[in-house]
Amino acid sequence: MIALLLAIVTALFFPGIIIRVKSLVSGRKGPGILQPWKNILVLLKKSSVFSTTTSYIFRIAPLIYLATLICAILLLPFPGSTSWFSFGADFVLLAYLLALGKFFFIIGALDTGSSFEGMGANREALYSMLAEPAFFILFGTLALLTGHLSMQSIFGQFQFSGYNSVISGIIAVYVLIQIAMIENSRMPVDDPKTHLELTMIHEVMILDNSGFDLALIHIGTNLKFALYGILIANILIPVSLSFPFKIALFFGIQAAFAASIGLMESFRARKKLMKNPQFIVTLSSIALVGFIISLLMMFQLIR
Amino acid sequence: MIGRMGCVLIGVTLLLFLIRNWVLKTRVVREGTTWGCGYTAGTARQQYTGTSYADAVAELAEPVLRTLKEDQPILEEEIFPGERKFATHPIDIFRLGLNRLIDFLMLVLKKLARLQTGNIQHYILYAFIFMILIFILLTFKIL
Amino acid sequence: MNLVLVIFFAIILIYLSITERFRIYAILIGLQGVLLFALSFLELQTITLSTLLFVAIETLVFKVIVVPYLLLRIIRKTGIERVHEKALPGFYSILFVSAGLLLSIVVSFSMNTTSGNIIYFIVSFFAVYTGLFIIISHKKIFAHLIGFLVIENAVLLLSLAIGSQIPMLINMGILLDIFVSVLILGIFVMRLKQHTHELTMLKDE
Repeated sequence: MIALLLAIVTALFFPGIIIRVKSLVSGRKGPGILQPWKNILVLLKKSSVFSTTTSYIFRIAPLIYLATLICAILLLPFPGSTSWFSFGADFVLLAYLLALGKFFFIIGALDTGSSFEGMGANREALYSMLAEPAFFILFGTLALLTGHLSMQSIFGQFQFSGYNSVISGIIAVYVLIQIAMIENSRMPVDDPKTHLELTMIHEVMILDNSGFDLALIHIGTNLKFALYGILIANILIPVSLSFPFKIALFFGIQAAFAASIGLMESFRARKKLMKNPQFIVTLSSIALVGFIISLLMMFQLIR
Repeated sequence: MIGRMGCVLIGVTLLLFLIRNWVLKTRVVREGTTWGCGYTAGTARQQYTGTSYADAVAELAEPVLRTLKEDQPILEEEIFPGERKFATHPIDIFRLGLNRLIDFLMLVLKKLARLQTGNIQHYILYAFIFMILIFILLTFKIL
Repeated sequence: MNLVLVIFFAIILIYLSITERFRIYAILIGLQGVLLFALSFLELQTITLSTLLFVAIETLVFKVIVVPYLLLRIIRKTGIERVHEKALPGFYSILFVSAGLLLSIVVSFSMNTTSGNIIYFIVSFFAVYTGLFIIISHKKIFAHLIGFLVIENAVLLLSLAIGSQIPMLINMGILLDIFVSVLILGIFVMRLKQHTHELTMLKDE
């Protein structure tokens, strides 16, 4: 439950910090931190236009997208407090709730009959498919290291003591950050600033949504950032701190994450679209290297 | 637990649906055409088919799928390209391999088919040769 | 600490198999040399100090300084600083390399080694596999040289693992180092055609 509250607070500030950092780095002052949410409020007051080509799928797709994201956040633990829904191997449910949301997003985009949205849906499906092994190998590594299965026990048990858990922790954080970049279609996989439909992934799939639906999708995107932020903070925050310290450290980590995304987007160019599958599969290889460590520890072959 | 999560999911979806219906009741909901992005003369011949959707994954798995593409490439000196056709045929690589194997076997078997002359005396000759061969092998205790 | 260095070695190998620029090859081989230099101090505790110093300084001089310098000089001389074309697209390279990692894990677990050493065996087999794969999947002769250097790094890594018991093995690994850097790289620097973009032929052809 506390994860949901923290996610809402994080989602309020996250996109604003990214845009602000990008503006400051390029020499401008930039919009206010709450500006993306003011845009969403404006969108909530507008009326909708639906395309004649679409059917009921297009009307329910944004609802299911946002609903799956809210349920996925309900699954997340926070170190030291219990979650209502945690059970053994619940990270599989997390991955597949996100996949359900993505599926409805994709078929909603294909429903409009526009080729551009079809191309975006194509790429989104491909990149999510290639990033899934990395996610599962990563959680397999963490589960083998700590000996528990539910996310709450894994993150409660995992601490940075000894070289093995430090390496696993660093590899886990790196792979999670890159998966977050891929799933949210940020650099280096896709440029959120580009307005060329032939090169977009997320932006092009929502070309036909308007008004209330578009607001729901933007809220969903911000919540997705918060979801991955909570996962990363779970790895980094030790369980033994007192509660106010944990909250402060949590918001510090989220701000640092958002700032680093802003910096990375300002200084990097997007990779060629043909090279993206190779980049994503490299993540799985790196996760596999981290998996070796937990495998060796399970066989008690290293300390 | 998963059942509980499923119920929460359906509940939240219904809640959002009801909120949206209530909000949109007081507003104008119009219908229009799909946003064309400057590509307004689209016809059914230019639609985005299932093959196009699967194109990205098919390209990655190309050594296994081996789709046959029939197209005429546009040459460099053709400034206004003429009319063209394009077709893709998915082929079954196991069937292709099986065809090759069977062709090889047929080649071997055709050579053996020369023994089949249609003359009954030749067939009796084959039986006679077989009997003499068995007799020789048994005598020298090879078989 | 050894584990961190060895895992970093493995990650450099993954990056080496998918990169496309020749300068990055030279820099990564130098980085692997630095890791081996650090590992030689941490692993070889039970041999005499003079041998240890000889091993460490030789690794530092040859692997970190001489070999990258010669590689960069070859790159500058033949003018191939750009991205080169491979025989195999990057996506399949990374799949084969991951399969090699799994294969080396399976092979190492079926051997009967002592407990502390198995990570060295895994990464050494993985490095040999990656070096052979680089040789097979590239067309230019410079990439074949890089593959051979990777195999040689793998041999040195394995000899560091069991070198406390067999010091002669490390000396043989170092002789291989000197052989490669003096003989082969020297030949390459002197004999390659100048500013050719092909880089598949030696000068006398």
